[in-house]
Amino acid sequence: MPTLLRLEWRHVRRDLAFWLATLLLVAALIYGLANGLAWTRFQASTIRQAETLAAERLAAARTDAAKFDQAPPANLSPNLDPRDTRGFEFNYLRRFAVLPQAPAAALAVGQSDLLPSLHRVTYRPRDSFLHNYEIENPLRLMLGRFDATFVALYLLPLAVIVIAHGLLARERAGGTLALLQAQPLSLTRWLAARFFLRGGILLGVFAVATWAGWLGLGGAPSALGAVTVWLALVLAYGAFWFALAWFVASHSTSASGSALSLAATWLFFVILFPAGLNLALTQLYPPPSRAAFQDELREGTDDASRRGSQLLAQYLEDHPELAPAGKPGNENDFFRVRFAVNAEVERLAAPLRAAFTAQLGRQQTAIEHLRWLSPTLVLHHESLVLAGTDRARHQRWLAAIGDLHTRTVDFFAPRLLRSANFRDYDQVPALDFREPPPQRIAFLAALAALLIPASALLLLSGRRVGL
Amino acid sequence: MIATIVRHTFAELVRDGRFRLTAALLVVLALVAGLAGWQQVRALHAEAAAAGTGERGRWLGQGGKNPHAAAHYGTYAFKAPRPLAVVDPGVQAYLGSAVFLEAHRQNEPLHRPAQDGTALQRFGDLSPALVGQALLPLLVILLGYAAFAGERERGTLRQLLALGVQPLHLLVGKALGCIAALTLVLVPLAALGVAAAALLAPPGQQGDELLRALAWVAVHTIYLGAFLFLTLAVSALARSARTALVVLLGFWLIGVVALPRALSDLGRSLHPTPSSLAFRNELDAALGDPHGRETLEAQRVAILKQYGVSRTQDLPINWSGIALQFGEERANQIFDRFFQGLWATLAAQDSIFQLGAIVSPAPAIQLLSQALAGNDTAQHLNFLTQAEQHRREMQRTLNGALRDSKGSNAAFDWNRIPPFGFSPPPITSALAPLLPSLAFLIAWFAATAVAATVAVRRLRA
Amino acid sequence: MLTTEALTKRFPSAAALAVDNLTLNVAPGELFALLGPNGAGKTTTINCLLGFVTPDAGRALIDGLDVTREPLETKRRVAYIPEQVNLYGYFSGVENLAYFSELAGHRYPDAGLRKFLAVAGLEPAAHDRRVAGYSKGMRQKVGIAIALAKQAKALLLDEPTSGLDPSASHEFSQLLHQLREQGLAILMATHDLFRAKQDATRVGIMRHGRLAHILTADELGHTDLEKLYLETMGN
Repeated sequence: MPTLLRLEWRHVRRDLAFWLATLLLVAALIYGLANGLAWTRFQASTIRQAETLAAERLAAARTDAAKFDQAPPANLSPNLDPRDTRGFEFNYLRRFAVLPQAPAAALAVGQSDLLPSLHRVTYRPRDSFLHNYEIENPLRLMLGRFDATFVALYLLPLAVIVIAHGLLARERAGGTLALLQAQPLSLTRWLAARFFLRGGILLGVFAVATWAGWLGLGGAPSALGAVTVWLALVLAYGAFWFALAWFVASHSTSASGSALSLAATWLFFVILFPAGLNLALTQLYPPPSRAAFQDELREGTDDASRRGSQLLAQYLEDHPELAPAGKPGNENDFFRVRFAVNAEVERLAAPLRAAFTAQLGRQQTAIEHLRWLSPTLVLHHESLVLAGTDRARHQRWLAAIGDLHTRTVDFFAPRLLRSANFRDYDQVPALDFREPPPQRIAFLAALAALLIPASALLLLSGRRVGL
Repeated sequence: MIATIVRHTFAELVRDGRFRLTAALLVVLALVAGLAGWQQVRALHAEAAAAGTGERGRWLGQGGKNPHAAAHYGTYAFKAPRPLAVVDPGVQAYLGSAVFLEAHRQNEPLHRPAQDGTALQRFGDLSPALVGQALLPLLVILLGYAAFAGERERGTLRQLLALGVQPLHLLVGKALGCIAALTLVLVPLAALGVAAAALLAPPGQQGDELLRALAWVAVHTIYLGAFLFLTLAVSALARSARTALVVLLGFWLIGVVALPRALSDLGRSLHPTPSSLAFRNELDAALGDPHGRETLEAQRVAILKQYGVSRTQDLPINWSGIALQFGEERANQIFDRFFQGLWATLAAQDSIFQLGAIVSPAPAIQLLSQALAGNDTAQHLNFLTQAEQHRREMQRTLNGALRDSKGSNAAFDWNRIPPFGFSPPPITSALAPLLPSLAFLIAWFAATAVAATVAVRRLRA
Repeated sequence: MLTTEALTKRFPSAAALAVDNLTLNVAPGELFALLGPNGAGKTTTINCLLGFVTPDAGRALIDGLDVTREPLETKRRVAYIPEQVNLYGYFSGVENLAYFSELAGHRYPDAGLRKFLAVAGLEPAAHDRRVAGYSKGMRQKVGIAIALAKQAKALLLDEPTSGLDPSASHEFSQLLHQLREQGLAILMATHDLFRAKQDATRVGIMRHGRLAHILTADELGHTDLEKLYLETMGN
């Protein structure tokens, strides 16, 4: 084998298409990494802005509170007073729930350009703060990003096709195959050397370019582990396409024929299967109507507002601790009614929102199962999980936001209703979002899902190599 | 002579099992996607109409509410889908479908359909537009890559040229033969578009939508024609059919798959948009800036003088109506400055994308197709502009009513605020910003036709 | 050295047998010329000896080894020159020779490679030019050099002189003579009656996969080969 590889190197050196494909792939990879890193830097700076704003306002609340304690200002509206719960919540509290970036986020932009990763959670109904989009050109959302995962999913297989489609058929058409077959060597091993050398160089260069690009373009060195895991999957995906090219080469008689078969397979896996599956799933599990959702929410809010006092009575029955205690007058009635109405709106909205989540969940589950049918979807899914830009993680984060919202309401309700004084700057609830432990099994399953078909293809090709 | 070549080419293609299978598959794909889109357009239309009716009912049932309270109560404007979303949904899924119109604020639209989808949708929507713009060019390549290179390999080109067949006649004949075969695929797509325009368009808009559908078919025909001539030119120049195929597939990959994404990312790095957080903070800061309020004070003094009183309470009109309208108009200027600036950035990004049509015709056809279907960014912004005009008009009326409400207990007639209706811009203004795209597309067609002519002139067996 | 024992082959698409019960032995130092029209089974016989085609019955042997059972070992002992020698256009003559020799397990210094090319008759000026610019005769010579460099015991030639000009053909025939002297067993399929009569030690005329006639060197001397050939075909 070493001799065959050494001899094959003489061909590879002269193979202009091979070097051109490798060069273009590496250039695309570097551009993809640069794009991904630019996007994560943008996101990181947004998160920093949000956190700075939150910290500044909290510090201002403390200093202003101390200042106002020293010298109480005249005519200060409670809405602006940090020592008043209303004032603190309205004028000072700028608390953002942030979806933290995974270390390798730059590998796959995924859903992170579409779904917000920043919500300012208040005690008001969730729909008042959940519709918070990042500014983005819709055309770019539609086209998708040119990130490293795009390069791996779409362009790497095409580079493999350009390189490998003619490795056998060209020798056959050129007539050199007869002379080769007259030599005392196994043609299978000779073809294996052709594939291994080219595959080794292409994938090796891809791996080195990924590491070098990651470090050179400012990716976090601590994420190299995740990058390497991603790379392992990408290389397995590349191996699948080389195996497929081998299979096609051993069954096809002309280079054009194998190029067409490979291109058709690519088109199926990369374009038609995902798009068709998406179409089928949206037909099978259509999301509820957003317009109807808005309509019902609005109707419900109106109704709740009309029944304000009645709801309040009910609310206080459920929350006796919030009932007016000793405090004369109705100065907190506004808030009481508001909490009661908010609670009612939340009660109405919860099943509506759950209907969206449920349909989405059904689609997600179907994809989780059906992705094993396509190596492209296997790699896509794992890449997004590694980059932390997948839908499931976002859903977990939204669930954590729901929990934070509940705790926020519980935190502010008694304080707003029973005491105006506020000093609990350190006790404001914070987001409790925990990452699940990394799924080694899922990674290994994905790796197997890529390597098993690759090996099967090689076995099926068997020794069908010849004139 | 040409007729013979056309007949021969057409018969050869139609007899080819690969062509028949691929063509049938593409037609089925386009029709399935189109019919799913058809159903969705109808459903969204009905939902938007129902929600609009609900909003209107709530608005009219406000009773004796204070006009400014009603302004805060506000109303939602729902965006109905455009009929040609059946052939090209464009960016529709990535734009909000409802805007809340209320006092003091120009809101951003809510409810992007894509937010309820999975990551799969980011592989691209299966639509007749995808078939026409990405898959049919592949079929064209499949039809034509061997037109000359294959004949040369088989040795039949030698015989043809020895017979005295003129290379140019050969080109025209083969091109027409391929076009005839392609027509079999294009006709169902065109029929789908025309039917959508005729049957789904709201009354009064059928004419414009029909014109859009025909233009949609026309630009796609030009686009595919450019691909056909490119394919024939490469086939005539290439040494072998394999080389022709690999070169053409490479062009398709770079020009149709990779370039659009690369361009849109380039657009963002050249014309960055601010983060939503920063944008809103700056907007809030501008709105909260007390600078400019002195004009209001001057106005107050003037009005007090006009009515000969010294306190606003003593005025025969309700001062707060005037003050609120003043605030609206001041805020409107700020909104215009911020949103126009943001939209200009988006337009600048899109013009970088449009320039990419120099490298490949794909960006041009994508922009044109979306615009003709009414699902491009510009027409969405037009919807937002119309909704915002409606909001401003609504505030003016309500604040006027508030101003004149002093001493009268009559309830506001809620019918004075008309329901919001979006009137889509006509095809001419939808296409106006895309004249460069149209020019690029036609230039591609002309250049590839010339290239093919030159290539066959030099044809050597 | 080159032996077939009751070799039989039928192709699925054809009605008749391509090779029908063919028994033949070419000893070292012998040149056996196979004559016959297109489709007589000459090339199939050679392909069986090379292992490109698996016989339906009978055996093909090289140096006593069964070609089907020991494909690699038998290929080590035999060199092959096809009618059309196809080479890598982007390699020079020397590089093509080096490549194929090393695949066959022989590494030669540069001078050694050039010597083989010179013996095969390729002028030194052409050694380092890319093969893409070679004429058919030049490529044929590289093919001969590849065969020489393999140091094989047997040589299989499939219409090696078709399309060569008379002087190249003559050079080739002299080379065959030398190789035969060195003890190689040579089997040559050809249409060239003149060359067959000149070079061969034995001539076989094939028809419908069978050997219709075998002529020894002595018989060749006093036979009108063309007449015999036409008579055989006429039957």
